[in-house]
Amino acid sequence: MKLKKSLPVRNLLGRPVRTAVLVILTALLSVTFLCGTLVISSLRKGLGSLEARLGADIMVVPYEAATKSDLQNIVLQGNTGYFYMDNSRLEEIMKCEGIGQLSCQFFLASASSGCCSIPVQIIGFEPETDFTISPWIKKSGGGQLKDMDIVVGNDLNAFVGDTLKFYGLECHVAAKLDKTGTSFDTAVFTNENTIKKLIQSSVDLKMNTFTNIDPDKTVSCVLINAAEGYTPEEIINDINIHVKKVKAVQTKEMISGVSDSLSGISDITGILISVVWILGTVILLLAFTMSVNERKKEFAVLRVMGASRKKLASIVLQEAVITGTAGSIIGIIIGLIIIIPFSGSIENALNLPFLVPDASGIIMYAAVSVIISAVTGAFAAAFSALRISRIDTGLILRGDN
Amino acid sequence: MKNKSAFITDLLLFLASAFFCTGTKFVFHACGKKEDGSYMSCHWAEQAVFAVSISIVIISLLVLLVKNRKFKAGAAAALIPCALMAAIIPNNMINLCMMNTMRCHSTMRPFVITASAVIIIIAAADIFLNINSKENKNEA
Repeated sequence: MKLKKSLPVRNLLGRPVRTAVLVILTALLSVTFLCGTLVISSLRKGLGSLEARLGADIMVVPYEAATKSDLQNIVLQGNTGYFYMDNSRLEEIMKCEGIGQLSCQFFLASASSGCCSIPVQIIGFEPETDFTISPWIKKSGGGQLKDMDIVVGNDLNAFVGDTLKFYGLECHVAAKLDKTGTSFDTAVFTNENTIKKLIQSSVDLKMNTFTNIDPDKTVSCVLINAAEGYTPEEIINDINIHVKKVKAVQTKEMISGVSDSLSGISDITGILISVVWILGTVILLLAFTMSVNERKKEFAVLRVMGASRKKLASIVLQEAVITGTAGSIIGIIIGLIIIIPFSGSIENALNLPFLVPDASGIIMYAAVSVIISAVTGAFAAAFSALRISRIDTGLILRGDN
Repeated sequence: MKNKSAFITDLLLFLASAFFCTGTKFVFHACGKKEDGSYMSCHWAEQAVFAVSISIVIISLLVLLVKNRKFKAGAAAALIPCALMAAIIPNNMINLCMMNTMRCHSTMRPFVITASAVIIIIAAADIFLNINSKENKNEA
């Protein structure tokens, strides 16, 4: 109530159009800052999540899969696909020096199911040797997978206890993984026995492009971690020279393209934020200067009535802080309405790993945005406040200003 | 002042409802046809939301055109359950597609929920302003 009666608030309410313009300008600054920083941090978090999920130094795949970018399409683009190599290659790979951990994975893409036109990527792993998917399942609250049990990515509209049918076989959803912001969010994970049954079923139903494969004698991909004292580069060279028809790739190199795209988007967003911010600050500065020029007589009357110079400056600054805070809060609400519900659309549009920060992170960015917007408003008004504190009351009231 | 504010909320309510209706059908629509020409279940969720949104537009038009304040407040109150109904149709009453990355999940559902929430907030403000208008107070 006291606030409503204060002079700066009454000044603002008395000129609703001017106040609305100032609030909209500050809201624009706040939206730009919040959306820009949230997009950049979500992209960085997504890249970190992708690095963590790959979890291996080296991936070994059939030579054709590496040259046709099948592996990159599956891992980075979220496309579905599958490729296989004879598991005799595995024995040859194991002979190479410097291998610390080694585990096989098996890929399969589901056929279009009844509900959707988009197939699902199915990834099988060996529970005894796996070091990439099992820790992630444990972290998401999942346990040991039984046969015909599956674990679904966070973006799949299936929940624990549901049954999904792939190639005529019913699979039971045992766990749902935490959101990673990567293509793995739309994948299904299962153990070696289950994926072999699914591959066999796809071959039997003549729905697999590899018509003559024996699931017990094939693998899709071998994941390797280098042993201590060895570098991934040494192992990659060794495998690529000594094992035929396969290609070893370093996971870091695979995501370097994503990292470059992210860096480019971060730079552009940063430049856009700066441009909008500079323009907004200049417009606010002009708005406050024009407003104070218009109100010179009003301030002169206040001065005659006994208001000190400091009081006049404080009125201008208080008006700026109130409009700045109100505008930035409105801006934050709009920004959060854009970013949080539509994060999926933004992820689809950018086609890059995208993981929105958790609640505490969002609150921190929102608070920083409010403070910066309010301070910018106050800074833009400071010059006008200084001018108004130096007015010559006599000259203004005589009309000789 | 309050009568002027009530007119602004009436107008905002109609504009938000019209945007909700056209947005659901033409801009923030669900996934398209499958390759075989058939539709996925999300298409029917979109149709259901569109049908409810037409009712919302008609009620909000009445709120804008009718002069009686009590009628305005009552009609605005009727918009709240309609908007709530529209918000829970996608994925709660009618299933959407299997992946959250698909258009129905990433575009249509967030739009329907956000637009419904906006309509509910404006309708609540409109009820408050119409109930507290000068005319209603004079009648009392």
